[in-house]
Amino acid sequence: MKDSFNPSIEPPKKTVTLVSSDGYDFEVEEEVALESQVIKDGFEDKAVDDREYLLFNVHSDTLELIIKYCEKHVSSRKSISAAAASSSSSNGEEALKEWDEHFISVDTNTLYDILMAADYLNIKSLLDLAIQKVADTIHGRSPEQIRKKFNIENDSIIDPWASE
Amino acid sequence: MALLKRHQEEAISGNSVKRFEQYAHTCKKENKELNDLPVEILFEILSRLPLTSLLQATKCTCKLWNDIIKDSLFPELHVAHTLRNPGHLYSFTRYPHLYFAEKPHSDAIVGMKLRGDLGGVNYTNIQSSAGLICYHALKEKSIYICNPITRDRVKIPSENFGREIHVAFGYAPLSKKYKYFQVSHGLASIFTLGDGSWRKLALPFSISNSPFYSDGALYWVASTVFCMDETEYQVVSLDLETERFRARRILPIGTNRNFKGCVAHLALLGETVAFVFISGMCNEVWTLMDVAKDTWVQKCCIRLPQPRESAFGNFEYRLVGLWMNQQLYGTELNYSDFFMASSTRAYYGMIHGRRLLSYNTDSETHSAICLPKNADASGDSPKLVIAHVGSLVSPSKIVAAAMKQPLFISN
Repeated sequence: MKDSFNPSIEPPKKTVTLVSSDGYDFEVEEEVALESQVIKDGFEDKAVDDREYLLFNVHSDTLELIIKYCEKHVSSRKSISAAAASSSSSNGEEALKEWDEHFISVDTNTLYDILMAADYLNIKSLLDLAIQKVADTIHGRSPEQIRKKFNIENDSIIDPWASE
Repeated sequence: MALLKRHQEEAISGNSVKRFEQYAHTCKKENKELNDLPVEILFEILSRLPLTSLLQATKCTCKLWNDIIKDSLFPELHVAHTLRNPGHLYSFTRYPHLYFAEKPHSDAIVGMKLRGDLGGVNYTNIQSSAGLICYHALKEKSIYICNPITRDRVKIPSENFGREIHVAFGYAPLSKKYKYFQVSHGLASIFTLGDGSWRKLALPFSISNSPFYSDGALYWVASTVFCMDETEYQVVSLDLETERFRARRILPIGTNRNFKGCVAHLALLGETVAFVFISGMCNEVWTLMDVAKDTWVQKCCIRLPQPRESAFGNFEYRLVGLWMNQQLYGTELNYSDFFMASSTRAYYGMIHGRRLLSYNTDSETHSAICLPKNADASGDSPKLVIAHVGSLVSPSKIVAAAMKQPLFISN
């Protein structure tokens, strides 16, 4: 019995349960969860029936955003490669970039949560996106504005370049 | 002060428990602070800032950021991220000051006047690679490798200093080594920053010009650019990692124009090497699209700029590279006829001025580039203009670090 011979019958999708720090369960498709390198590594190491991951450091609000990001990336990757296979022109990558841009336009607190969750779960593309967002926000601002924006305490006593 | 290294070691040595505690602590906080993030993430954030805004942002924001940009591992990380968006170094003919400008992201071009001098007539052979420059100080007759932004520099031991030398400066990205290369009287030698001595390289080609650096390799137009029967040109490259030469060929396929007698030179379009044929009223630009397969593709034809009506004498246009607004740019030299002084048998030419022109490929028009500068240099024409990545890389620290390393001898 090989499923691939009959494309009209879809095999049941394998799912993984992610549990947030505040105890909520999120059931996601396996390939979506595998966007996280940490889960992927754990998946390869452990027995197959272990399908529940406790994420002690990710709050449900953040986890919801992370899952939304991973789902979008898995689905657009599929449509981009499908478009490439049928050699039809597609602006899938541009559209995804735009979607990313919109996705990461959040307030600073949420941005920190996404940064830490992406680092903890090791989702490289999301981490890159969030890091670039912070860098773009710092860019062009004065130290005073930066401190205010990012809630940084002013403990600077010396100008690092004054001595040189 | 190896802040990043210590944190990496902690992460590796099973100290990650501490890090998760840090997460848990930060997650619960109502008003989170940027500096609560793991220090690796702060390194990554700051390393993505173009130099001008990095210096502005870290100047006096907080102590931790100062520590990060002064960390020994930061400059390398920062250069790796900013390599693709270089700024430009420039100076003016009669003023000694050196300027640096960059165009961070989609903003306007920002310029800064650098301390110290590299303009004027005392320096030559200035080349830039991965955040550092090399230059020859003519009065001292010495070769320097220098970070023009921080003014940190080291002198390279040199025996045969002379004007006839063809020099090159490049960066091997895998081994992270800066290499200085020179050809003098047909002999090639190479010097790695941090090593104490020169090494000789067998030169399989005759080289009579200074090369261009792109992505870990140096490129020259070979002296024998024209084969007798076929219309083909040769470009020679030297891989700085393996230190091996490679001959490349450019075949103007599908063109039945005669390239005999054309002048050719190289230019650098961002990270892509370009080969330029100067023929008649246009400059034909070919770019090396696939480095491994040696595929050259014709990119465009540049119509020569219209000479200004008020100017007299001759004009010479030369494509230089990619300007910070992603348009092609070149220099236009305005000079009067060369004449020979019978007593000294030397040729003289009177240079009236030099303009920097950016080229719009759609409208096929040139427009003058205005460099950010101080009022004292107004009305003067640009002398040196080179693409340069603004960095905090310190040549003297590279040398000091190499001294501390135990010496391994490999075959």
